[in-house]
Amino acid sequence: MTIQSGFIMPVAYPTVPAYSQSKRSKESSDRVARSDAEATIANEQEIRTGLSQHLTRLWRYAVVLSHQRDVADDLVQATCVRALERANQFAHGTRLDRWLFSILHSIWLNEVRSRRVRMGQGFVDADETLVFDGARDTETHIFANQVLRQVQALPEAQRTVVFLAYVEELSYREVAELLDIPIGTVMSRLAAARAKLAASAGQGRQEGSAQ
Amino acid sequence: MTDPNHNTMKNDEMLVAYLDGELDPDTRRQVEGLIESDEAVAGRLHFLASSNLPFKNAFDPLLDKAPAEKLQSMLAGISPPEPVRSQVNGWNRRSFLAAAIGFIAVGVAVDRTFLGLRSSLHGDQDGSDWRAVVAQYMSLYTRETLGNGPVDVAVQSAQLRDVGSQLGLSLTPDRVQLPGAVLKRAQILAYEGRALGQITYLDAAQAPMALCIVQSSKGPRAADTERRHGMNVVYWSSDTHAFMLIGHESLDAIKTMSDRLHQSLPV
Repeated sequence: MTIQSGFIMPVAYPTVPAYSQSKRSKESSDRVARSDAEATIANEQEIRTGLSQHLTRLWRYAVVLSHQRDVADDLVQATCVRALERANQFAHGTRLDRWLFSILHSIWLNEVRSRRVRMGQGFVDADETLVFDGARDTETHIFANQVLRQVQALPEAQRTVVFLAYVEELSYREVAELLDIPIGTVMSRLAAARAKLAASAGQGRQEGSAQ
Repeated sequence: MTDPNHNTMKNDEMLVAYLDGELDPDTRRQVEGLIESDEAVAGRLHFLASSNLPFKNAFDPLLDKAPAEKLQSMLAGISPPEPVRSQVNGWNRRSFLAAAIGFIAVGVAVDRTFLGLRSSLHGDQDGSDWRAVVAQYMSLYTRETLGNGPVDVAVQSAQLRDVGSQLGLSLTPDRVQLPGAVLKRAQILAYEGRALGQITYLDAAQAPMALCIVQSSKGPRAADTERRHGMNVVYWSSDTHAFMLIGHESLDAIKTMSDRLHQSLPV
């Protein structure tokens, strides 16, 4: 479980051009300018149709965040209401699903999650809610459930990026934009998560001599 | 930073980004050079690569677990944000269309919807189905679902007017006020393609409760009681509507409240 220490790779982190903050903000400001110019106002009906297509994906993301089905239901509902209210803020030419995911995430972060913490309710363990018809005991299912549980047991910040990058298959840049965090933070969260997942995958085996 | 763990973490970031194909060509070449020349780096890469798990496969079953049908009717029940919209006989055409589009997206749900619509149009139910759905929905509510923000009477009046107009009822805060409970909000949900008015409250113990109303032509019926999902329900109907009051209060308390509604609601 521990990260090996004394292992040093001499690559100076800030010299990696793909992740320099300046490049990132320049590109996103370009995109904002372009979408402003081209923006045609999305009407409410288009947003409604888009929501309808993405409801189950939004719900799944809400379960990943909250670990609770009922909270996920409410989160999706709040996301629908907010997205419809702000239909005219959605710019054509950008991805609607990403926009909806970011709305859901900010509602979770700013409203639901903070309220739960304030109410002292804390958070729910992954196992309690991931009732995955344990009856279907095929090996594939057992393994899939295992992976799911391992991801869900990661701290929220880490499982969020793992989910977005590896399940929703967003690029690092897209994850950073959706969560409104620097790309370096996405990288460090993924690295920490991967080290943990690798450590549990290697349990029972000697680390370094896997396979 | 002199902490060796810090360097390890930074190195891990590079290796993970390498595994994810997220490095630009120059950096990728540098990392590849290191992997070839430094056994420790190669070993670490190997270790991190063991976290290449079938994440998509693991999370796809969750999509099937989503309450798709319920989410679609929830979406269909959200009123358009515009203040004015056309209505025909209490049917909200846009919501109905949205519901139709939504169900097409779900595909499987279509048959069931038409069945549901047909059965409700032909009136061959004993009328308890909608109460079962409401009870299930209410069982998901917590104090926090309703508890945010101060109560704004002007907003509530507008919500009630809106809900009332879709149900063909005149609703005001006074008319739906319940003794010992705080009125929170009114909204339209959809049940089998029909408008379902939901007026929510927090009771004296801060538990959620609701008055729900649908249009119904089954004729008047005196109040009766039942228990659903651990909550007490009092339900009755008029010539034109079916009502249910559901909450965690004692049956007596809810009966008293429903008596008050009997008198104050225009039917």
